[in-house]
Amino acid sequence: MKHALILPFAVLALSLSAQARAFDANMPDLPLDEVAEPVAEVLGEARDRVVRAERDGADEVVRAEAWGHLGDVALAHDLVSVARHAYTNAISLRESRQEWHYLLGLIELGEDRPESAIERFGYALELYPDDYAARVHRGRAHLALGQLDAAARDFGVARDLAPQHAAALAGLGRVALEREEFEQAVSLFNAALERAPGSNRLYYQLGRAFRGLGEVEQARRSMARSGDIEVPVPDPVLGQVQLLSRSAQFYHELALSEADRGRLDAAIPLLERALELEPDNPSFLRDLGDALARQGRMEPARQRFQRWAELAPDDLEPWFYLGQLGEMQGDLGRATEAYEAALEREPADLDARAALARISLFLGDAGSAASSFESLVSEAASPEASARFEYWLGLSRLRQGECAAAADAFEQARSRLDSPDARVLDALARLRSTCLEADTAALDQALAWADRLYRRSPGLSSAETLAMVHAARGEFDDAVDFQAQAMFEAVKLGELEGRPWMQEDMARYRDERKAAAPFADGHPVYQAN
Amino acid sequence: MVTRLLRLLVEIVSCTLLIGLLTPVQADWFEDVAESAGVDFRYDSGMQGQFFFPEIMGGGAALLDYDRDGLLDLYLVQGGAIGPGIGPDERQRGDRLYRNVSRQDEDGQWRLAFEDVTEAAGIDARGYGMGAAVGDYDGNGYPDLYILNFGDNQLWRNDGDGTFTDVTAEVGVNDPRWSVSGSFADHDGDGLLDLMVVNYADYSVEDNKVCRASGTSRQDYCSPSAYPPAGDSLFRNLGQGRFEDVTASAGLGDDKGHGLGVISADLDGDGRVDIYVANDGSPNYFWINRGEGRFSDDAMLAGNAVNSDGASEASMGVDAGDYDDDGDEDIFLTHLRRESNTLYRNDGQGWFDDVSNASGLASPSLPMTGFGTAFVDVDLDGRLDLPVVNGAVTEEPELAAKDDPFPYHQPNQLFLGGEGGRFADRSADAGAAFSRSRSSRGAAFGDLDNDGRVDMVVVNVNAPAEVLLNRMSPEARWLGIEPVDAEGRIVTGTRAWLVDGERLRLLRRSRRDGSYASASDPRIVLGLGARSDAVEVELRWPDGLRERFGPLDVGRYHRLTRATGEESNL
Repeated sequence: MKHALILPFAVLALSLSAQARAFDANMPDLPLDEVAEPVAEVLGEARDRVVRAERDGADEVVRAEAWGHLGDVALAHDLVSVARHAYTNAISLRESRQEWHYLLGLIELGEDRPESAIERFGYALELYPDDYAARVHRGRAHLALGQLDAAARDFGVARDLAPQHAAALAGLGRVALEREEFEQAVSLFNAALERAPGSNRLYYQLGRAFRGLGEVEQARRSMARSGDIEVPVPDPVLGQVQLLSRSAQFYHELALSEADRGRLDAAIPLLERALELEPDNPSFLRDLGDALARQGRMEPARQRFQRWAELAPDDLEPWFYLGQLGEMQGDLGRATEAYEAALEREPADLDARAALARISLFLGDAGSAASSFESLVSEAASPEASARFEYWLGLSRLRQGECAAAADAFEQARSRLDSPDARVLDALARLRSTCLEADTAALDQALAWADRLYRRSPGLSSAETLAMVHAARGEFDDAVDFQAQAMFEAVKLGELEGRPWMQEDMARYRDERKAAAPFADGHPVYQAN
Repeated sequence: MVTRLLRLLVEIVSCTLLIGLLTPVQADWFEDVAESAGVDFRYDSGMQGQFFFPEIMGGGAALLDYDRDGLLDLYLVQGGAIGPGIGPDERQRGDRLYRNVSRQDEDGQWRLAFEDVTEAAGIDARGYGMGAAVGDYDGNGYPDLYILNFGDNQLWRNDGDGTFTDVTAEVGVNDPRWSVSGSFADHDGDGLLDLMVVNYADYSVEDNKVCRASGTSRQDYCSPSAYPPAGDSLFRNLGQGRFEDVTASAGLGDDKGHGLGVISADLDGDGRVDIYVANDGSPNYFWINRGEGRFSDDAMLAGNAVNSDGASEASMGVDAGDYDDDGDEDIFLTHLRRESNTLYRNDGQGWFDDVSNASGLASPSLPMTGFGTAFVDVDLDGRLDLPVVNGAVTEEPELAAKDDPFPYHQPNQLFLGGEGGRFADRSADAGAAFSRSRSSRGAAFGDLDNDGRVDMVVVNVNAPAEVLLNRMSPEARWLGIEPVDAEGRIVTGTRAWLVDGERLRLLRRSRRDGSYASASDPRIVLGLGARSDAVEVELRWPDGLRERFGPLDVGRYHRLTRATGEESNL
């Protein structure tokens, strides 16, 4: 029994000692002159700690911790070769610190050396077999080398350790995909997406799995949702290291990552920290202003955009942002000034011209807006841009009371794209249900659009449109039901009083009449914000 | 005792010497003969420390038999001065045309020689050059040259008498943006070559941004994400020496990629020529030809937009070839450092899978930034190989740390195709030309001495161009094919197979496009290994006609004329 206990420890000790690397007492080159002052400060402190420990002949644990700390600080600032040197020294002095093996594994993986990473993660897992992050990363390294069985083993253990996390499931999905077990892959990717819905990179893999099953449209839809956000790996060790960072870029990237996940509360302080370190960085000013605006904090947002405009006097972009801010605040005078300033810098910019035309519409000058949008349609460089301007042209015509001309514009916008904008279909469905003399086939099509929009996004507007279409088809019970639903949504938003036409349309449906107009005069489509 | 030791030592030394004498000295697989052949060309990026973006992206080469004497001639694109207020009028005549005047000596050996005929040919190209595309757009049997510039492009019509005429304006194919690669192909099946032009970034030297290297914080070249994409152009050949810009009507108008490489090929097997564009940093385009002049990008679903992780890569060079001998063409792309080069395997229906890891191509490419490349059978063993020329676009940290004055150089690589779809990195065996470290960009591939072995021309930034003569496998057998129509005009897009019993093998296609910013030999070479008997081939012409030719003697080129073979219905 005693032997049975000793043997595994002996094997572990042998294994670890086999990987101990030679201690290199030289201090790695630190680029203190080339990094920002706060970064140089923390790097200098970490270096001095190592120098003191070595100079004073401190015991191995103290020296190891000093080297390990230097590794952490270097890694936090992406000084990978310094971190590798420091961790290697730390391990040679104290090989039982699991984190250092793990972080070296991450460095190897980051440098695209999967074989070395597997070795490093192996040591880390010998010391702590239940390390979820190390399991997942080693699985990924195996996957990169096409070692599917080994990858599946690691991902499987990780899934059992923490079934609530997505990373291991996503890894198992990749293994299934490579093995052409497509149904299994779909199931695993869906399970991973349930746990990490923001990890849109997974939609690409899910699409590949659907493609393998021959479900082409599902594949296409899934791939259309794919993006750059990876599945997160819960990683307390790396998290601790990253907290040591003093670089503005680090805070910026972290903030963007939080913002991508919809966590603006977390993103804003990080962006503010980045700006403290680099107060004149245009990207930080833009992103902080944007995040603040999204949170409704308009004045602080304005200050950031204005500072950005001061720093980039020839740049159109900050003025465009200021214009949008004005629109969001309903301050059309300020928005107009900003867009005009943008156009002074780039007179041909179509988006700024479109914004000014939109403001004309909001201010009630639909004729001028229509004329501008007509020009913009003819100048647009892409079908998407043409369709966008045609939508606004349609609204402008409608505001002028020209229902047929509006319908022409919306139809043009619809025909340009394989997947037309939902707003265009919504507007067309309303026109066909109200001011146009639409035949049965046209109303059938309108119903199909409205139904699809409602299923995709059930809410005030889509329910209202569906009610209009049903009324136009003489299906007044359905019209009343959907109008009631739309009004309920308006009550929840506190907007029913501001939408008197909803009550009027409801009364018309009850009297078995169709709606009065596609968009009543005070409708939000004719208003800023 | 001393005597015995001395004798032993003498024996060891003698034995070593003997082994040295008996072991044949392995010649370099590729030998740079540029200097001895008279190609004295250096791509001058014009760099003066302001890090103007185009300085790090050019240039290319074209191999074309412009005088139809049976020998491939060479066109090299030049950069030159760049900066605010500097245009073609401020530059020297830059591009060079070299005529191949090689001759066989008394013992039958080819002595490669080129003669600079730029002036005599009437070529006066002063644009800041990026690349070249070749195609006989007017069907006079002589290949024309389209020069892709940072700025206005030029179409040089080959007049057939040894001279060229700039017909850009009258033909209607100028693109004033930053163009890099082009592809002449008959996209609409009307028998006329159309032209796809791939553009990079919407950049001007006046708006040059300051970017910094992540390692040293020194000023460095920006990534393309610093500038909006420029959008590509598709020109339809109307005949009578006129082209029409059909980019928007063909469905290519909403282009958001920084394009660098392009090929035209029927990749989904529907008989129509598709277009594949290598984009730098955004998903690649697979413009599927839907007929009637319309294309739609379906790269994402097809599986060749992004890598198997779903990530966009910085694609530069590109080529298509049937590396796994399954009868369809696969795609290979070169990429940035720390991204692997990517091999997409075609399932025959136009759906692709990233097999870079399984093929052995991923890992060796991670330290390199790849540009020019091609599927070519360099050792004539019947398997396609992949030479890749490399060079960084942002400073290499290791070189910068050593204060290298131009820290953008890397050695080139040679991957030889092997069993089971695997490639082996044989760069170390390929000789000095593959161990030399330069910042290579364009690479053109073709048989300069008509010995069946595919040679290479490599363009290097601020370093001499290389003419790499292939010395591999002199004993290997091969068959060369020049597919022509009844008027003797080369028909690119023609596919050839070796008829091997009941099976068709070794699919190869006549093409000039692909690689990076370059144009290659349109002739087809089938590597036959040790096979020495006469062989039969099947050709499938772009219009769908299938014919068999043979038996054909190996070890030489055959001009095979459409509609003179035996029609094949297999």
